[in-house]
Amino acid sequence: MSAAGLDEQRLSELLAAYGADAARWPEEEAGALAGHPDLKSKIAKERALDEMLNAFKVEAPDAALSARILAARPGREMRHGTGVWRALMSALWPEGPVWVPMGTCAAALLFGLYIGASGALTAMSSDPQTETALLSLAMADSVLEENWDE
Amino acid sequence: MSEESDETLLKRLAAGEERAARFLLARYLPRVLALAQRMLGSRSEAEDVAQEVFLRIWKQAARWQPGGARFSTWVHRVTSNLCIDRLRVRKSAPLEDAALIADPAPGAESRVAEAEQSARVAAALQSLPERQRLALILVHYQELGNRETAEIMDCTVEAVEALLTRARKGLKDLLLKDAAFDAPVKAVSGERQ
Repeated sequence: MSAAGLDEQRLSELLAAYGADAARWPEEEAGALAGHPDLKSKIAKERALDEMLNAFKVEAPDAALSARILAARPGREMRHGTGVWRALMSALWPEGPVWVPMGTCAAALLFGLYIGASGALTAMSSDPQTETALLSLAMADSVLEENWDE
Repeated sequence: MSEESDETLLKRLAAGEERAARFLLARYLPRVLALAQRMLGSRSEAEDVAQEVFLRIWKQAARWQPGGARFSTWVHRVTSNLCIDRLRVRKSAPLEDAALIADPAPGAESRVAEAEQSARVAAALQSLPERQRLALILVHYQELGNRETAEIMDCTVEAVEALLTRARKGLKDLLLKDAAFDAPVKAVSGERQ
């Protein structure tokens, strides 16, 4: 039977079971409420109960409960090792496998070494004039300043 | 929050990803807690139930078989069963006043009327037989369809409809008796469904 073809008896049953909000009705019957002025008082009564029920709110879970639940996850300790190491790893990286932050640190270290080494090579290959100027700048030498007055 | 399906998150969880656990927690904890608190009328008991539900989720993740029941249905079923177990244990112990334990104290004066209304509904819900209460919570508050509710409650869709009708009738008698409606006022039935 199509939703529009429901008789008043069935509509009254649906109202009494699911309330006035058609979103809670069975999908195949949800469109049947429209165009039934005879049910106005029943709809009003069910809507009043829906609104009353909606007044019962439940507070959202707090962070402490979430933390307790996550901490109770079995196998969490095994992934992070034991003792101090586990505590340190958990504090540093609570999100998953430890190789992620360790790999990132190793990559950063290698990149730093590369930059440092290439900078040293550049300095060694510069011409004597630049070398003198850099040396003077590094030592806060006044020789160059005196030259500017000339 | 992650847009990934429950099944994907369960696979990632089984592989040991803490982030997947966090996503599942964010997705389901508010629903589990709301269902348990409305069933039990107690925040602290609802938190205990929520912890137990998630312990089962963490253990189940590695064994989860896609293609069977939906994960959300399974979560609601586990929560409902744990609540019903507690209610059955509680029957032998003196019950606290549901209106007192149902809702935390309001923080501001402007919220007093709202909190009173909330406590009144909570107390009325507690007066319903447990299966009527569960059907109403699953359909009205958890916004589940009648088929999923029937699956969770292990009964037919017709039985869910009958439970809902009786639950709403009981609540109308309790909560709308002062309103200008024409239905007769009766006490809530003490039957157990």
